[in-house]
Amino acid sequence: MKREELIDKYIQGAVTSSEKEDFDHFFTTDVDFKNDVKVIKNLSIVLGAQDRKDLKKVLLNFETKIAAHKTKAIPLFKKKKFFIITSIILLIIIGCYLILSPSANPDVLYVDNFEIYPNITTPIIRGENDRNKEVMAFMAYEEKHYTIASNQFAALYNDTQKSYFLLYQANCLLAINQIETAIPLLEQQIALNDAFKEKSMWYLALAYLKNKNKIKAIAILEKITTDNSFKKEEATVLIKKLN
Amino acid sequence: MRENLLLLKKGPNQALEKIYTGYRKSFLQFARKYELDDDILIKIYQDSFIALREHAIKGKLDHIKSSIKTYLYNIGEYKIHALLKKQKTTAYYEKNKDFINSKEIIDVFEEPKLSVEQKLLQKHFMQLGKRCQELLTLFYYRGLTIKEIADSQGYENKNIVKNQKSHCLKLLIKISAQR
Repeated sequence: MKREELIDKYIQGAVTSSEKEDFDHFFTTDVDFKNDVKVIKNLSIVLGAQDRKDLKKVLLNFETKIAAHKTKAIPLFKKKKFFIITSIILLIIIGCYLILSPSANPDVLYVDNFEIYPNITTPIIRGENDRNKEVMAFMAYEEKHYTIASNQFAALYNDTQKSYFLLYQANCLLAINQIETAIPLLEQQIALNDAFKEKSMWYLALAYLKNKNKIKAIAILEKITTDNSFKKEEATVLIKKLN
Repeated sequence: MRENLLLLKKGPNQALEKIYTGYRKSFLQFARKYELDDDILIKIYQDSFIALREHAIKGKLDHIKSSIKTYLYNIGEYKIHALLKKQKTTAYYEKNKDFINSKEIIDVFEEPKLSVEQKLLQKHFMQLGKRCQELLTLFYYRGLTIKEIADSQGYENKNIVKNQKSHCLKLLIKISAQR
């Protein structure tokens, strides 16, 4: 029997009495054999620690999935109905506003349209350090501590390179009127071309609106309407008002 | 129960989702009587689940009379009481001494602190390729046999697994000896 097999059987408690004699002989006479036994014994402890660490991460993922599922609990047909009704109401309100409103002041339009982007990415689960940092940032965000949240999102983006932190940081900056700082972050997010791009487009259009840069604002709003993306109806109304 | 026990003992971590989510809701309902935040209860549930899996691997669940669910709840309840005891000290003990005295003491499992030597070995282990890490984990920690590894991981035959495992172990010993 190979020495490695003998050690494995010993560790598993499966050696016969003659194998035990062989084991004891090698263990007392062969330094390498003794060392291998020590490594393998330590290895099972180390592997356990490593595997539990991995399991912990997997369980956090399960929790994230559970939280995401809860937010999707509305059946699709109800969701569709909800969106159709809200869109109609929104169009009626916006229509009335268009008819009755005498001016198209960009500041007023910005205030009417800017609404902080909700936290849809991070369920509040306590866990490992990184996760806690993310939870803390979103807690500050939801409690409207935008300066604190902005700094935390910036640090999180540096650490993780997750693009949605750029969008949330930009939203914090828009909320505290730091438009010039928000614009490059939104541009950076859009350049990454991922699922958050269309949200960033909307907020970039608003940022230009606030900066009274009508040309750039309209260009982005037109892109939103042609791409049929996030806030398409609002973008259509804004274009009409700005023209 | 047999199927769940087998999955806990031999299954990969990702495959435990059904068991984890299956017991989670009723555990939280049961544990809410202790008036702790859900975030804390979820953390306790996760720690208890990790302890449950550890016990399964170590064979401690092979001959239990209760169900796996009850066993998991017992671990969770002990962890809750340990937390409350830590928070409320003497007042807690007075209020809950019936629980403390009536329940059979079970080993709830605490994460062992690794020695310097073990930490070094962990570092060397992380230098191995993913395939080697997986093979050594399945054999030396999960306790799968060479045949079980071959079947579950899609190796052509036992000999390939045996040789590969031997190669990985030698590599790890070599890396460790160099440092």
